[in-house]
Amino acid sequence: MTAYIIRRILLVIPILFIVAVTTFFITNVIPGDPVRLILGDFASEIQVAQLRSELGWDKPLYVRFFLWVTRLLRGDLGQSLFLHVPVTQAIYTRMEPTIVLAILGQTIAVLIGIPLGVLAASNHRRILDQIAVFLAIGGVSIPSFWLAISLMLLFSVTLGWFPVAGYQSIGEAGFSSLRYLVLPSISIGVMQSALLARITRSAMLDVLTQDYVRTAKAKGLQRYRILGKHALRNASIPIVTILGSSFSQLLAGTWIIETVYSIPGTGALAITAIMRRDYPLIQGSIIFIALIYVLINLVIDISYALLDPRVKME
Amino acid sequence: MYAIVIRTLPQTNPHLYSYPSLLFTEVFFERSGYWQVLSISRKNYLRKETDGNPSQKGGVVMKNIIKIILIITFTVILCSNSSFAQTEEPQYGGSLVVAHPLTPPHLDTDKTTDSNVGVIMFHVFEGLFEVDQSYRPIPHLAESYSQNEDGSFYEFTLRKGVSFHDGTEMTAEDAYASFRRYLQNNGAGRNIAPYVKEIQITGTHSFSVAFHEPYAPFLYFLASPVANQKFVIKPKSLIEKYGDGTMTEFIGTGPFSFVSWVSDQYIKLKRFDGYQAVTGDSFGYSGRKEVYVDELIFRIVTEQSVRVAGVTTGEYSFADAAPRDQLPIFQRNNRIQTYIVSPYRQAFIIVNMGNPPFDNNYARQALLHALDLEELGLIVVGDPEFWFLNPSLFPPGHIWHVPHAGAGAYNHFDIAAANALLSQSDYTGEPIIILNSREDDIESKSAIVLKNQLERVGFNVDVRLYDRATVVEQRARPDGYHLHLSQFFSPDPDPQVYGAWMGTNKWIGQWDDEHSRYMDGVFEKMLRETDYETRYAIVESWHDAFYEYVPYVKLYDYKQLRIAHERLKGYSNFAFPTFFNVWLEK
Repeated sequence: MTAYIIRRILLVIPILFIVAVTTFFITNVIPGDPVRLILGDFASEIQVAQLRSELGWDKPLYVRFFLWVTRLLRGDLGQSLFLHVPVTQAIYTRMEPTIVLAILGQTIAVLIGIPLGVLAASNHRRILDQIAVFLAIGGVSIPSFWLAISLMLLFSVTLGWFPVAGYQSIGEAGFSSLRYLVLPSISIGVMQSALLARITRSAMLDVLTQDYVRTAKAKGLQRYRILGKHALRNASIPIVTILGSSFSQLLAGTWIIETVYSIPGTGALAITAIMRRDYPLIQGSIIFIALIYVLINLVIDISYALLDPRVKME
Repeated sequence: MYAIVIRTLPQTNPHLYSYPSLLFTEVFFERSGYWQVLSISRKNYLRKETDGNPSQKGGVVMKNIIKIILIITFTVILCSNSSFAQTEEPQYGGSLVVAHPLTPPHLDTDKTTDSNVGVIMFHVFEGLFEVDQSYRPIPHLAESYSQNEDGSFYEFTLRKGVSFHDGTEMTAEDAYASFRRYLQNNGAGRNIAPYVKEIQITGTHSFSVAFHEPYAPFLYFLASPVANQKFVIKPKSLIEKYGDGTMTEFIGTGPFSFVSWVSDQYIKLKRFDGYQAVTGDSFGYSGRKEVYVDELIFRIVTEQSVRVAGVTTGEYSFADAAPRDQLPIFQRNNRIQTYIVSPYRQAFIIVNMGNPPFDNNYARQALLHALDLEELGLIVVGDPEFWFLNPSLFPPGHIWHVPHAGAGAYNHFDIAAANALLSQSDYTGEPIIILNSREDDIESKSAIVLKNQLERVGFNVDVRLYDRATVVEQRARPDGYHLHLSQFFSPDPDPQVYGAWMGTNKWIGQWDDEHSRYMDGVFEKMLRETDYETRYAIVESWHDAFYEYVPYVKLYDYKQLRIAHERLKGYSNFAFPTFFNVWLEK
């Protein structure tokens, strides 16, 4: 297994390189001009040319690519045009709220979604199943920005329990910084739990018709042991796959939620970079997102072997 | 909380203009969100009028005056026992958090024309001159100045004892270094630079500027709060450190000093205890500037609904760019104060005159006559309280306002005339590209309405709404667009500012013909004329040329809505939000 893990980690390098090169060329062909955004509406052509030259954008594309790759190989992703800090630092400072938000959101999703899915499957075609399906479809269908704003209006504006928006880092405010993340986490958790409930229900329904479940019932095992130990563990591969994929998405940033709640996370960072054509930051953010996906997929693959001994790491 | 709200109703019936405005006033008595209309309304008056008994008019007025007096008396009695009877004495302390809609690209006012930077940093930096209520320049960091008769030489004496935030005293050395940097980097400074002959330090607190020839708009540019045109004084040491590069340290003479900036999150300023305030009436950035709050934080909140929610809860003390259509809701909420900013901005269509069909003046005139500006204003901005038609390029009350401009041309909606003019042009039905940003509500809605109006007279229109980064790139191309909607701040202090945007190959207009050269000539004359009356006549002729050659189409002036939490006191409205002389009620 160790050799497999090392091989997979080494595979990250060419994947990231391909992502980086693709991103470089895509960002250089899409329309949009950050120089004119930086200088303002009435900047003269001289000012535009001057800044373009300062940034090295007056050089041919292949020269810029060569310089960029050279820096990239040294681990230098460049400097953000608008944030005036190195790209790695910009991403690093935005990771804290995103990671905390992802963990809290995912925890809520797991606590709601998996029990709901199990409950629905174990009461297949009964009223509880129908209620669970209704809730799951409702959760998936509600637009995230609507849920976020509704929660804000109820719990922040009307009841005054939580701050409306913003974020204070854990270093600055300690655990009270979590107050800023309660509503965003619920917004994320509700949506993710709906998806998780549907997958859990579907996977459990497959498993519950298997012979070994019937055998377990025939042995007189208690219902919760059958569901928890035999059925849920065997249904866990699709659930873990979805969990991994949704956790990757959350770590890459949920820009809608981050924007609504003014949370300075990586999702809002990437989207703002795209809107402003902050090329170095776009490239850095995409490489970062690709890295998250690759690493989490690796963790998922490893977890398959742990969950199901029949899966061989080769 | 108790409040009296007096609202004047729009007079839509021309027959009613002669009657006292009191007739069109509603008085609301509000207590904890409960509203009661206790006075007359226009409807009541109209009923009286249609009863055919105009003699009752005086009686109605009298009755209503009595009613209003009673209401006010009643309310004053109530308020004397309530929290409303709180002191209006300024209180020190607290953090004033402003929900700011846009993130600035950087904070160096000389390196961008983005007014968003000045809105924040003109609390830190101050001008040699600032504008007064008529948008005339008045000395601010300057104690006095003198100029020669023809306006080609100026000498400035700085105020003594003014400290920078680093504790050093401002001297002529700082002003000299700042002015040189201003000429090389600032948008307005670059316009001035070719005319400057010599800058000299004439004393420890005085310096002079000599021009090759008379330069009339000089002081107006120095004081302009628009597009960061203002000349501000920074320490010489800082200028030597950064040169023409973008500054990342900010030391000024303003009543707030810079603390920190986390891009896309907040800019934090704090009260500068060594601030030397001037006396004189406060207006915008001029006059007395007292700071009562400890901190001023501009928090970047891009979502409009979040800004509103934050002001409602008191998390933010102030928010700019509130939704105009929610004004009645805000007015009913006793936790929110509303401010309508006027003059604010003017909407224009920028015409690309480098390509057919608008390289032809008949096509441009057809465009002018095809527009129904009232329909446009109603659909795009909505409530007439937030927009008005104004043919002049300056708002009413401004010293350069020309009320009779554009007679027979401005808002002269005439489909037949537009059709006839279009048929005289060389237009062959090629698509007219309206290029605009989809992120800006005014621009995107205007583009859709314009398409409809222009197609009525025979133009074939292709609306292209992109993100802002794409728009600024496309419109800089000679063939990137035909029409582009833009908005300029109304309180530009001097018409010469337009000289940089309107003339031969200026800004994005691609205008280069005998008419553009005529326009250049108008600005040349304006540049040299220092006598107000004579210069005003030139400004009138500029307006005439504007409507004759149509480089831009003036649409309407519109207003901005700002909201503040009830705790914020002493706020005084200005085109740009300023937080001097304000305090937070405890």
